[in-house]
Amino acid sequence: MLEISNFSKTYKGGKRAVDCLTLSVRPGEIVGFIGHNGAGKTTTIRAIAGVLGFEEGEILIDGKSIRRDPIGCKKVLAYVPDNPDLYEYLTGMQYLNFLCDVFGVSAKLREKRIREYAQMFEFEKNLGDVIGSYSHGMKQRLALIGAMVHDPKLLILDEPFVGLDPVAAHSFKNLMRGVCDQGGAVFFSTHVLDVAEKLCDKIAIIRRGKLVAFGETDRVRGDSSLEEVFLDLVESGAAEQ
Amino acid sequence: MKKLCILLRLHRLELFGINRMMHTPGKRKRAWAVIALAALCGVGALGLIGLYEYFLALGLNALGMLGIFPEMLVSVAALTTLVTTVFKAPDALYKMRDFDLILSLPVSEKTVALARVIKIYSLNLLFTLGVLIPGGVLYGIFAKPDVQFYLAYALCMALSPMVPMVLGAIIGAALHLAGAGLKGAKYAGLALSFVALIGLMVGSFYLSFQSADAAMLTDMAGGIGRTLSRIYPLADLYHGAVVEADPAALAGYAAISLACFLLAAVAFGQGFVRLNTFLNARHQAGNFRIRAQKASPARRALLRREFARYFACNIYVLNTAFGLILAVLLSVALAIFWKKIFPVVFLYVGLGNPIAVLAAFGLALFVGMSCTTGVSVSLEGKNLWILKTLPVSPMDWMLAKIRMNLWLSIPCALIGSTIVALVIRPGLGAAIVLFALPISSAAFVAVFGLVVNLKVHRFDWVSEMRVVKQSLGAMLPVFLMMLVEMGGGYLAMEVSSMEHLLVPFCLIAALLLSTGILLFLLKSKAEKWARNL
Repeated sequence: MLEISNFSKTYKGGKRAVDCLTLSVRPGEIVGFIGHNGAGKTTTIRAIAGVLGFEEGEILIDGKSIRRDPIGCKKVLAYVPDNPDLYEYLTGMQYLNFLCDVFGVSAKLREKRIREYAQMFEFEKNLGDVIGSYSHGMKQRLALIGAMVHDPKLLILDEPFVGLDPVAAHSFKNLMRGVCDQGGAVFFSTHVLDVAEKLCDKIAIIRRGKLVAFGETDRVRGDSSLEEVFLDLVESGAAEQ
Repeated sequence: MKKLCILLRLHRLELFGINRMMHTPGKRKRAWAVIALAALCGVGALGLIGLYEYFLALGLNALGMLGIFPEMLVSVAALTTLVTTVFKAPDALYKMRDFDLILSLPVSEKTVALARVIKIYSLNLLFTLGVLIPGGVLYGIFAKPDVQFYLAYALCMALSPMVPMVLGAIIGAALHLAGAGLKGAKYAGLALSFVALIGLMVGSFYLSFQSADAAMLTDMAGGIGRTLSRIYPLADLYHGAVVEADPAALAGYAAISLACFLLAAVAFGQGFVRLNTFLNARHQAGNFRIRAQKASPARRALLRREFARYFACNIYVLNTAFGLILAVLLSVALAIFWKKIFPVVFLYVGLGNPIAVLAAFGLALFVGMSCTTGVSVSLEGKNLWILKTLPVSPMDWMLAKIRMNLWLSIPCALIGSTIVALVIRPGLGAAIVLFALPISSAAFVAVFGLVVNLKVHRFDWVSEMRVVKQSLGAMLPVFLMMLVEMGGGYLAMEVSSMEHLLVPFCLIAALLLSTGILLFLLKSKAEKWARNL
């Protein structure tokens, strides 16, 4: 579903944010992407979503290149950033309708899906209010509903659980598993290692732009906890410096 | 004092995005280019203003009315300050994105409020200086006054924005409040703003027209002076302080201006947080129920979003639509009063001038100054990620921005042109110019504005006002169109070939060709430019 091959990103000024990253996410997998602040997680995620351009490497989504066929890729993926800035001047419903129009979701289908996800996130009664009046958690929930409403095959999420209350977080975890059960895949970054450990089929750890660990959660974790593995990797990286 | 200076420094660092460019690798040269361009535009604007004032001073001097020149200029500056502050006040004083951050710091509310007041005063002062400095120099050349004139003039320059600024801020806040209290708040506030501004302008012109009639026959200078007093009530005091070097008048002018300003600043400082909380509170009904939905094509959805964005920002609408509405109103005024106005215009324009061609340039000027695309990319701000992740090509959403601009400008241009054509009944050639020039100007400025904003943009703004009124994308298309239409109009009158139609036809062709070239450029570079955003 997602193939990243030798992806590298160097910003103007020479900062190499990501260096030769290679990993893949198969249909039915939830892959957690973890790393310290400034490791290159958001850069990678934004490149996958087509928000950030890059010159080195390749990213394939469902077999299509994000560089050569961005529209084809974007039709099957959904991206939610870590701090979703939405259109404050639209109501929640107007925002969802806008997304559905662009993704070509029929009127009947959108009504069904919006109702389903709005009820799941207990958000229906707020959809008529202007997004500018929402709290951060409400915006996060709306962004997640907006991501699901066009039935994506690949979910690309940057810290999706920030701002979600426990009920909403639980609902979303079930949703993610539902996407995978239907042949889709999820690739998300998180700092909450507990969630990553319990939810993810695979874990990828990035340190200073390089992938230092990738594989099934149990294999990456070994006999310790994911937190211990992560701290070891970060500390050994600091020692190398 | 120290904290006030820190806040003012923060405002200064935000200007024109220069600080960001200076600290972004590879963009330092661009920062200097922006500074140079801004300075060039400033000098150019100063030159244009100076030229206009020179001819005004020359005319007044010839009529023996040079004494009213300074108060004429200060009245214009005051009226402009009042009108623009009505626009600026809500965003500059009440709706800042960094409100929470700044107020969470160990800085008193009064200091934060004062910083905002000083910021808006500085902007108004800059404009006032731009008008009054050349005027002062010209008055000095023609009238050769004493040293006292220069001292009083300099002092009054600093004082003159104060009263109109305070009034403008009160009106701006009142309009915002009135709009907030009504259902469909943003549209009500917008409509009220337009009514207030148009009322001000119509009122000023009406007063000028009324008194000009009688003044022309009896005492011209006195009549004009009385008119100015109605527009700017402190004009008499100003005249006494500056022209007649009356210390009492100077003291009175200073006292009124300072008292007004300080009282307003203190009151604003006292109620700053409460006012901001009240004005920015967003109501949640929380009672929505999902009903049957309608689907639209992606193209229409993108256009609808553009309109929603446009009308969500009052200052964006006021800044761009005001010219269009004024163009239509002036056309209607021409239709109603043209027999009365025409003899007056006839005296100054001269025999045989093709009024229709001039009207075409006038309409094209208003249309050209109503460019929404020049800031439309910047206004995406932190929402840009949404457009970037949608399965639409960059050209799709760019065209939506152009289409929105055209949806606003072309109907107004057509209405204005139709009214003028029905009134003046020009020949075929002039009629074609009357319609084609405004439309081609609308098309050109819509595409040009977008190209400018794609190349020069800012997403880190904390106030929409900064983008809408103070960015290069806002100013460059307007200045260019002013130059093109005013210069074109002047040339059209000078070149009498084809009954003054040669220049406008050439200009129409040039505008259409340029629009085509820019569209081709946009199509070929859209993906790359969008990637670089």
